[in-house]
Amino acid sequence: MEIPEELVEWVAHEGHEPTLVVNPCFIPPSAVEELAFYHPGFGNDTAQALRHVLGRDDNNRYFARADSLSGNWHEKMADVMQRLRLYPGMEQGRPVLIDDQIGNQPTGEMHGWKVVHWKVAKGRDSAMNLVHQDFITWAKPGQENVVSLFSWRPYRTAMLQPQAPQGPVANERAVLSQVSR
Amino acid sequence: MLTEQQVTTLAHAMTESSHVARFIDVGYTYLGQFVAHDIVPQTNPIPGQSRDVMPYLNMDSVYGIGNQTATLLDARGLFPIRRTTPQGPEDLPRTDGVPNIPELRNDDNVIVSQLHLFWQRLHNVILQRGYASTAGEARAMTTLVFQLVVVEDYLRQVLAPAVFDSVFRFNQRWLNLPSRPIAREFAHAAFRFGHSMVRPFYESFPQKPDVTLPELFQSNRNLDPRLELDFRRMFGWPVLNNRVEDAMTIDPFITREMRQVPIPTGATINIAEMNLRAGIAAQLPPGKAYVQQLLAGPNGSKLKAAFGIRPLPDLGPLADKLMPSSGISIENLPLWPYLLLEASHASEGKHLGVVGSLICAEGLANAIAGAPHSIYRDRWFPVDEVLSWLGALGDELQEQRRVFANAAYTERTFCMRHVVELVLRNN
Repeated sequence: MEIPEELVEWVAHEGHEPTLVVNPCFIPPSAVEELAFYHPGFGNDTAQALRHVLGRDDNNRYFARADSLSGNWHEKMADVMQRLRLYPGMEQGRPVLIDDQIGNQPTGEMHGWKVVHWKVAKGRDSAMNLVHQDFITWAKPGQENVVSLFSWRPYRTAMLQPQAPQGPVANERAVLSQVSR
Repeated sequence: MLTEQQVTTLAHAMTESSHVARFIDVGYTYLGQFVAHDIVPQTNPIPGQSRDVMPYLNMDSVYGIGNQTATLLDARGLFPIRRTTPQGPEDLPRTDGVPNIPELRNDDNVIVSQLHLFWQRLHNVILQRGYASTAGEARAMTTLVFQLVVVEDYLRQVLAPAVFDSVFRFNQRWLNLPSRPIAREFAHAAFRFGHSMVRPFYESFPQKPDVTLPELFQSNRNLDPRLELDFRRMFGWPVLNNRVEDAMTIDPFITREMRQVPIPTGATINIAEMNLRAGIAAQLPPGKAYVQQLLAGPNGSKLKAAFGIRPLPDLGPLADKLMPSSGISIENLPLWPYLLLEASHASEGKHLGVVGSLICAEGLANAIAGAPHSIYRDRWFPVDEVLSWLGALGDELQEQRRVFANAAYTERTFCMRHVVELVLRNN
């Protein structure tokens, strides 16, 4: 399997183990008491693991999706993660992954909050290390939408593929997904 | 042994936070509580209200013993299950709110009380559908199905797989725990692991989206219609991500709400403190010393070879919650939290570790083997064979297994959900 250039930095390559959720993680004060139970990065002594792999839709568009979630994800949150189709795009000149259709999926409410939008962008943790950050938009009737955040360590492509050729990268373990969601 | 202050400190540290998991459906937490109430005496008995508990998994908590059984059944041999109102939920038979059941602990919370009701319903279904012709036969069948669920479904999930296979497939015993009275390490430490699986709130109630833990404690009153359970939302099919609410991980962290659990006297108790004190009162050694005693005992070398048992090296995730000045270390950590810590080490809380599993496996194997109606008859029988003893009821349960068969159900081919489907059919 070949990983399209725009997704190379976002998905795991051959031999990559799942990555880990790290700080910073954030839930706005108006929703923290209700969402912390479900939200990645809160309330676990053991780090939560996840891995992004390649998917392809019915129109042959590639996207990143999450698999290999560790057992310490809340099942509702894991269900949202496994339904994500994160398409590559650009926002203010910076690469991002976006799923703007997740709100139409039959995911469960979490204390009344439902995930309606998902964006992944590059950021920095407090030690200035590069992290990838998931910005989750939540909606609840009668409340203003809130955006929460969790971070994860990028897959270390350079270490594993020091002589990577130009163009598509081999990824035998990437799993294609053409199932309708 | 811990001092009073250390008990309080440790209980506080254990109840600061608890952890989410996706491993075990939420209903099994309370199935474990129901099992415990059947065979383990009350920690702090209430004079005149606590029954004599026999250490045999015989559903005495539902049927009572001796002549008491007849007083619980109507002339047809059925439990007189009633609705609180014509449109209301079914509830246990009650007088002024107090349930007419042998084991009053099964009215501690609305989940365990509805589980009690569920087994009464199974008894009634067995008679009403003609699977049995007498109440005695129905009791025997209900008990065998219950034991089958306990072994093939519940224990299959909460025990370390190697221990489960050793005890329940190969009929081996490693600790030689006493059958009667029930082993102290089982009653006052290992089989209290379920407290770590309790959630701070529940989403399994169709009429009320979020029910907090304190709201579950509704002893001695009619069942609130908003708290009627849908058992299909408590016990899912045996696969990960079955869209059924999950229990918390088996680890030394107990949900904060367990600090103040109401009891029928009107007081509240801190469950973690109660368990720690129960271990002290039973004079259990600290967990590490218990393991060292096992390894130095007659089966020590075999245990080490078979399961790689060794004492835990440190407090692991508990260390972050306890100041060194507390004086609590792995050396004096009581057996109950030690076994929870072992679970955390062994599988990140998916199931018990080896020592905790051995104690629970042998404790329950003894309780089943000693029961008058038992799926153990000099050895453990495969599910198919046990079901063949049950005549038409067994055929119907086999039909449930066929109807809901799925190639993904590799480990638990007989589970509580099969029984739920049987009871709820046409209901």
